[in-house]
Amino acid sequence: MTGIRTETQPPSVQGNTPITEVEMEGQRKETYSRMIARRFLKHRLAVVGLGILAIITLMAIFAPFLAPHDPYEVTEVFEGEPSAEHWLGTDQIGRDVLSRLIYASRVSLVVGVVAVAIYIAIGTIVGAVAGYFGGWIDMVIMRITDIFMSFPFFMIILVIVSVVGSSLTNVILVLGLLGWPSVARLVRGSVLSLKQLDFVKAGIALGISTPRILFGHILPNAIAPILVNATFGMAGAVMTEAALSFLGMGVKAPMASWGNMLTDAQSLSVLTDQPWLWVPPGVMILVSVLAINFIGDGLRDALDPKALK
Amino acid sequence: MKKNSISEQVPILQVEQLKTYYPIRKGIFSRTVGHVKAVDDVTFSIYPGETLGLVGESGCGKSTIGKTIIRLEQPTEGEILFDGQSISAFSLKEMQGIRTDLQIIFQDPYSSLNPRKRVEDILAEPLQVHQLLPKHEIPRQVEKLLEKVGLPKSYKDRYPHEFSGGQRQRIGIARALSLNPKLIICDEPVSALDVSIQAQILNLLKDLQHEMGLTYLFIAHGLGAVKYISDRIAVMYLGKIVEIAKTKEIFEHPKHPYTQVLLNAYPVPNPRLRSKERIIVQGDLPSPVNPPNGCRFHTRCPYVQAVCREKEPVLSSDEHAVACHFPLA
Amino acid sequence: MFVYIVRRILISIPVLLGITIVNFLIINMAPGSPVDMMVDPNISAEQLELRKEQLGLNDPLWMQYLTWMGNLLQGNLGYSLSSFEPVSTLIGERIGPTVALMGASIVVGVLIAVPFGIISATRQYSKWDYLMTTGSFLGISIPNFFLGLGLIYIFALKNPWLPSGGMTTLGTEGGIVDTLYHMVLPVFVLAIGIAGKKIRYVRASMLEILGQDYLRTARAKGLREFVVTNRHALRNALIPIITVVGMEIPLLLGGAVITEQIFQWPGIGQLTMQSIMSRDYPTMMALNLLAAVMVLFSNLVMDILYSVADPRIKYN
Repeated sequence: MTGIRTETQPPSVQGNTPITEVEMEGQRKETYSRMIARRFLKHRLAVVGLGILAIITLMAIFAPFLAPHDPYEVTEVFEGEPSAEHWLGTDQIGRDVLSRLIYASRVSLVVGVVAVAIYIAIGTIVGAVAGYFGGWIDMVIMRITDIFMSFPFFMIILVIVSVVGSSLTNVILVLGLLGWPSVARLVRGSVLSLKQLDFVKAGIALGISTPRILFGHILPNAIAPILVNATFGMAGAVMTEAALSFLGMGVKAPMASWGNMLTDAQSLSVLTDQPWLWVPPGVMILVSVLAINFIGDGLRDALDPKALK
Repeated sequence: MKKNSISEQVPILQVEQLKTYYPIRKGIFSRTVGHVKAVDDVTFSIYPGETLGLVGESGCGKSTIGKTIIRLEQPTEGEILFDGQSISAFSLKEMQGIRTDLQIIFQDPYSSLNPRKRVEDILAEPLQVHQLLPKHEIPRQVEKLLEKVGLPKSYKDRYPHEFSGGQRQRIGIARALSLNPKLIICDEPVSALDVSIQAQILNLLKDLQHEMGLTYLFIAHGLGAVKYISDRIAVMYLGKIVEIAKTKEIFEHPKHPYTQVLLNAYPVPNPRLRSKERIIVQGDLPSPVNPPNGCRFHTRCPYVQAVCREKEPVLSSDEHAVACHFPLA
Repeated sequence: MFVYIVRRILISIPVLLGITIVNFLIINMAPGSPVDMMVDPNISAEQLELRKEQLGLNDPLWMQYLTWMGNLLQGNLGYSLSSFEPVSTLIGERIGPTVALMGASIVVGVLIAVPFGIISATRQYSKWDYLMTTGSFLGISIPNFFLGLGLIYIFALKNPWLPSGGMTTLGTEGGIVDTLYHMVLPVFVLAIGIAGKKIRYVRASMLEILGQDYLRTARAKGLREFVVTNRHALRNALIPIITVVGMEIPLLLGGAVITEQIFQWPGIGQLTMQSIMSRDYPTMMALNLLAAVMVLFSNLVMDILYSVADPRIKYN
């Protein structure tokens, strides 16, 4: 029959080798955050974008010191061309365009940051719950996201803002409360694949509570795509606020927003004869959205798991 | 071990007629059209301080047994008795009470450690959750655990990606040990490692067993690893146990043809000791959705008879148990 | 695959119901009652009272929803508060121009994106690649209203080459050529947005496929690079590209609101803006509902097409 094999040595390997493996004393591997930072800094456009965003942020913070005039003050010059006194001219009721441009950066940044923070928080929790618990909870949540994602985003926002009334707060709230479904889908997908991994199962076997596993173990590993989504989402929110304000359904005068500064250009005379009124705010929207999108692209490349290692 | 020590001892774990089925859903309304019978009526016991090796091809359900015992999978039927308590019907909350006694080591050391946590956090968390130690003693305990598994305590600040596969597996072992368990399910803990590292991990597990009086259910797909570490071996085929006996018995007097096939796959270092007649199985593992009638091995068994196709053999209840109509002499 | 298609359709039914509920709830936030809006405002005050009673305006919310749904199913989308015409009539008049505008924009957008994306992918990390990448980001980041105004300024006001708005030249018969002439600028504005997104997508899709073994085989066979890229790779890269175009429809519908407003294009988008400006809730709501249903339907069609086009897709 099948031979006499009674040796008790470990099979295929010999004996009691000392327990040391590859020694790594001294030289430690790069930490994760450093590696991400290094990869991000290699993306030249993203670095430029970060620089531009930093400048806009400083502009928003120090607006009162930077603006040459009070943005609400009506001067004697109406529709004034750019001059030494008013570098970018004055608008139809005589307010300094440059000052309004500087103050308007506050609106864009506040909308971008707050609205995105709201919907990322909602979307992350909803998506995590759907992905982790699965079953009918997942089914119901996913159908709800389907419902909300069927409404063209800009259109439903326009309609709701027109129903609830347009103001800075309402724009932020509507954007924040309606933006979550795409984040929820994204997070659900990550959680679905992460919960299959052994470290999650180990956590369950160790008796770690479900919320702790979900928020302490699974979500920290799903941050990369959320961060990328949030960055692109911020660019989208800045753009949406500008578009709403342009149509007169967002931030209303006298408060200055880059979008509502363009509203007047819908009249052909302003468009033709006073380009200083509409070109600068348009360029500001373009530049800030572009900068944030570059940052998003840099983050996406830096955090791409396929490119790691 | 003494001759009849096994029958006198009280088992730490008894698995009785355990079944773990996965539903297969199909069609427009996702009706359940069948089941994958991953574990199909399995009975065995493990005694304190021993290592039971559980061996079989991939897909035979051996890992599912381990995961069902620790309730990472839900049992469909049957009973699991741990320390005299029936835990198979425990709610997840009730399971919390025995988590400290029952732990698991995973196969893949790369996915079994949270990449965002430092070693110290990985090892400290179970201690914090179960409040086994006062807070200020936890860092000491973490260092002790690292030393126990042969890692310098200075490694506690590092992240998993800074370690090799073998070192990660040591951390996984340390994590399982952190709660001071009685029984550890080792789910193919060396299969993913380089051959040279495998022996180190096996030795470590053996040393820890002596030191801490641990009991192991050691799952592997080859007889190689289990031989070195196991007191007894159970051989699984298609969701069923076909043979259980002491390691020496399995190797010297295999009774089930399938066991013999597995032994033939095991390389013998000395060519003169190689048996002349090698049994080779033909065909693939049949599907666990529709397992063959009668003896499940009959489609591939070299000694198949008419009765094997009709009647399913029962696992005998003696110390060298076998489920075969015509056990080998 | 059949099972998949049927399942996909069945899943859409509760979503469709959900869309109507959400829409109804938004209407409810608006002043006045949704059933109010269903009433033909051309009838007298007494008749109106009678109708209101018949329609059960004091019923609980869910009853009102059912009444509203019943009307919807009979094709009654309500009456415009500003023109007093049935909303369905208004939409009927406006849908053609919008479909034409959106269809042309998708075609032009894809026609820009595919060659640019291929150039970007086949010359990865070259000067051209960076140029295309930067260009695509410009396309994504430029606000369509700013681009539209800029184009009008340059091509209609400073240089009278193209009309600044409308669909036909006033005082003329119009005709296809005239309409195409009017379409140039608005289509370009919408197409730039689509192209901006798709260039990156085509690039990624091509890069993935260019690295596959069967293309190496094609090259090893001695096929010219042009044939390899355009026959073998492009065909497989196009499947995902085409289906992703379906995802653009909600964005396009949003973009159409602004673009039609700027270019005075007599479509759904302009109607939306007009209804919002005049607080014409029935029209607004019907348009919102219609847009959602269009998106749901196009997603359904895209998913089914995808399952037909890509045999690797799993059906469960």
